[in-house]
Amino acid sequence: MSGVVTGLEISVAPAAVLRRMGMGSSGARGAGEIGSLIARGIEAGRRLVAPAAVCATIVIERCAGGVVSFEGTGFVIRSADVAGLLAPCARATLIGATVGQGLSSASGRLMAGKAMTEAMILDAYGSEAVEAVVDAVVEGLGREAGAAGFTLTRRFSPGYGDWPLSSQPGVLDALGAARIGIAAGPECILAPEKSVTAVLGWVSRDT
Amino acid sequence: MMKPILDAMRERVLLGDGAMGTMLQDGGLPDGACPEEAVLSRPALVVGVHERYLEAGAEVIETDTFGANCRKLADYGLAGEVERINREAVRLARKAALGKAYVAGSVGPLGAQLAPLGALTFQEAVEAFREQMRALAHAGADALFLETFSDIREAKAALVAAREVSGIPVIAHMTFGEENRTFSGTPPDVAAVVLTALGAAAVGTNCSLGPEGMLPVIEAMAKVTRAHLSVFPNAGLPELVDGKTVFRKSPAEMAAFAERFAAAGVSLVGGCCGTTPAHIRAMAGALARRKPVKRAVPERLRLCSRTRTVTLDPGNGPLVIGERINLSVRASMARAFIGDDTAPVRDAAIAQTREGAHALDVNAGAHGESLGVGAVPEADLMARAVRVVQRCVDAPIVVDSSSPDALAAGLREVEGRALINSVTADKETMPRLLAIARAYGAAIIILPLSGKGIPETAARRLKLAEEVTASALRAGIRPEDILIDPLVMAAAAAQDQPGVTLETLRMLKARGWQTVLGLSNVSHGLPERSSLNAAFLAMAVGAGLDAVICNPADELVMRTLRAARVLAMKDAGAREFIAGVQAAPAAPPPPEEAGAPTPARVRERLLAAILAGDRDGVIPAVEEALAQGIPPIEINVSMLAPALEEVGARFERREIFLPQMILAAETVQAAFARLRREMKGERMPSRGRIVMATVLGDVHDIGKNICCTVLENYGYEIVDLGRNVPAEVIAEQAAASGANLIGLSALMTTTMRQMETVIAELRRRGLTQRVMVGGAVVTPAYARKIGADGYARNAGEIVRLVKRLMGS
Repeated sequence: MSGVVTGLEISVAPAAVLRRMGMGSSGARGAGEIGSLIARGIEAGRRLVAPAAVCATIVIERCAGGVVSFEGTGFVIRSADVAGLLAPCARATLIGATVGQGLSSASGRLMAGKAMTEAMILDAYGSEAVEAVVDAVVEGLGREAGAAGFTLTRRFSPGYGDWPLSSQPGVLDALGAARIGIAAGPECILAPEKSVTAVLGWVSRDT
Repeated sequence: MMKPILDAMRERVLLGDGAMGTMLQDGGLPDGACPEEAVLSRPALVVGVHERYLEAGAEVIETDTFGANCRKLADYGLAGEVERINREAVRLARKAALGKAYVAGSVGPLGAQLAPLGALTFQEAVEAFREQMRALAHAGADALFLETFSDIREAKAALVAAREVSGIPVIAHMTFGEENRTFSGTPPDVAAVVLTALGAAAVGTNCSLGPEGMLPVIEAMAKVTRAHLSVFPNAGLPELVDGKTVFRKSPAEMAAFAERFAAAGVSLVGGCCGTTPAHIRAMAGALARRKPVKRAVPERLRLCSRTRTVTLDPGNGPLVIGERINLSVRASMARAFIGDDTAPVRDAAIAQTREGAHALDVNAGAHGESLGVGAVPEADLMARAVRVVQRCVDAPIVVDSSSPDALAAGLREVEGRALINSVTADKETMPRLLAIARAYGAAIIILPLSGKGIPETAARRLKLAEEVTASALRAGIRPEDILIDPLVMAAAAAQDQPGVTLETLRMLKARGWQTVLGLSNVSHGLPERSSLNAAFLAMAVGAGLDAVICNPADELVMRTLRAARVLAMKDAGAREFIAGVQAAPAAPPPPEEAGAPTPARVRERLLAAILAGDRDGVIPAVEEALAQGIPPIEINVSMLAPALEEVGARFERREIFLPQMILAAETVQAAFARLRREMKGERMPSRGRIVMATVLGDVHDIGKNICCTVLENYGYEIVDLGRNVPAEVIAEQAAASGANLIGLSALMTTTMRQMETVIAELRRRGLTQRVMVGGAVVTPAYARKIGADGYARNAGEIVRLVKRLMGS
């Protein structure tokens, strides 16, 4: 799977949104006014997200000394954590995923209007939704990898461990993420806000 | 020929099978393929799974139909194959069982949320379940097996459908998570009561929790249901190892748990995710020829909201049913409600539960035309009123109407177990009403009324009541689910009538029936109604009354009730009476309709609106306070601030969570906004000034903004510098604003390092203000490391932290 991913369908469990807001997944207290606001927020979230993803599966050229380089690209990851993750892998997939600008804009408008509860619910929905986009992509990759005799490692994102956030522009370039509208700001934070990039590796079942 | 499955469950603990999906995958079904479709394309694989469980000792096997409903199959383009897949699945299971094991037709949730969380209507859900269940039952399943339900209303739709299509037994499971509640907040006792009332022959739980977590669920269910108990745990809690979900309980451990479940009263044990034939084999060894434990469950009337059960015990009555949500007699409430203003209904619901109502009567029989607001069908109003009440309180509902359609519409909305008010001897409506009660699992109030009017003597009322009761029992309603109303007539019209009512009540009690009466009728047409109501209630409690429909705002009635309960031995050790006396105000407030609102009532109304997060409803309460001439600053200090304190206290006790706290803060903000218009240059007193900023490099500022909102509403003055703010700017503003405290937020590991830079910059400039930090990745340890004075995990914790740091 490489290029822009089509036919993405995501599903966000209300329980996950509750959990993200610190309410536990049981929703025991999610009744009354707040319950109906959450229900409406989730509905609004569903309408506002425009899931999009792009991925690039590339052959690992060299993975040593905390540096991973990739065949046929000038792209390099400098991170001992990522190098450790990709050590047993022959190839890796970069993923870029977003739910688009609509949800963040709506959440921003709500904040500006001091409707914090609604903004928070929408924000929580957006966070879960972009995770669901990545999960959907990884699921598809998993099937592809399985058919080819590989399993996937867990995913890893810039800004975690020793992989600096300053790598974002390079990752976006390697992905051609501009095709789905993801860009990095001056501080390397992604826009739209609910966007994620990640890398994961392919491990051969024979190894 | 095998005996019916329920007979077998009475004789021995039956063993179910284990997981299906993972077994199919192990057998070669590709990831992402439709597991139910395998019955068509890979029948040998499905039969093979059944056979492995049967060889291991399973006596009940489940069909491969968990997701074989039109909604889930549509994901695979198979919505038209519901009947074929379900029929074929039963055929394969029966083929494997060879007449030596029971075949249970597995039915899972539809994969779509019911309104209000989703778009699916109750009726659509019933139709989808009906299609699947009809196919399962017609193909010869021995039972229907509802599993992994997390929304009690969806389970209700499934049980309603099950009873419509077939008489085969239904085993109904719900899935519980943290705090032993389902996703939608239902605890095990409510699930057991509701599912049993809806006709489930066995109730229980599967999936989600490991076996340890399920024991308390089963124990809670065992206390409230006489239905069989059933449990299908996962083989432990799921753990993610190298991207794969694994379950770690060994066969021996699962066998030990099977024994513990049997000891807890379960008569069907199987396994869910992660259970394999090896587990089932070990469990078979543990359960061999085990007889089910006999359980003694008291027969009690149990009513439920989605989250709470109210039980009528001989030692704790009478049950108080609040009468004030009544659109047929309260014109202003009806006019507002038809015009989409739900506030009066919500207010009545909240007030009555606070005043001591155990359940709430909902009567939506408004005559819109005579009110000049146009006719709206009573069924629509009833459905809407039930939804509104359920949204704001957790008291069970009493649906009150003479229209079967309106009652059915209300009962479809009910998220727990309701009481119907009422069924009479009317030949036309009685059979319909009893059928509706049975279909929706409701309890009933019986009135000894017929086309001939009200029987004049106690003996005739008893006779007529028992005729209706006999019909109810024949229709399958249980005796403990019946309350009989001996009919209260106005003393003003015939002074002997209260005596007839009490005599009827005594006769009903002597024959073992439970009773209820509508109190207020007795005083109709006389002055001092409250005294008459209270006196009559005391006499009725003395005669054995079990439930009363009354106005819980009538303090004299409620005080009399508490006293009468002591004298009638319904309040052991007078504990509740003494607690009530200690909590009661020195002088009873006047009843709602009687006079002008007092500051105490306004304070209560404001508190209720703030706790409920009712941003619209708080404004009329503020208006009311202003109308009483209370100065805006006084309203703030003596009403809004204590309400926020209460919100904070509830947050700390984990009775409410962050979203509710923010909503409450916004409700206060709406109240402030209204007060400011009255202040004409006066300023609210400030508790201190705080500079807040999201640090350089970070543009995620929702958390910080929420903190600002909450703090503002607690009376702090906030200088919000926004996001992506350089250390120098923060330090400059800290100096220029004269702030008492600096708050810094960062979301990323990379940007949180900026916090250290900010603190260094402040200290470099000789600024001594304290600094608090927070944000998703920030920890208390990191806060200490960089020299911050305090850390708050979220906006809920920040108020306490600020108070501590400011020394107030």
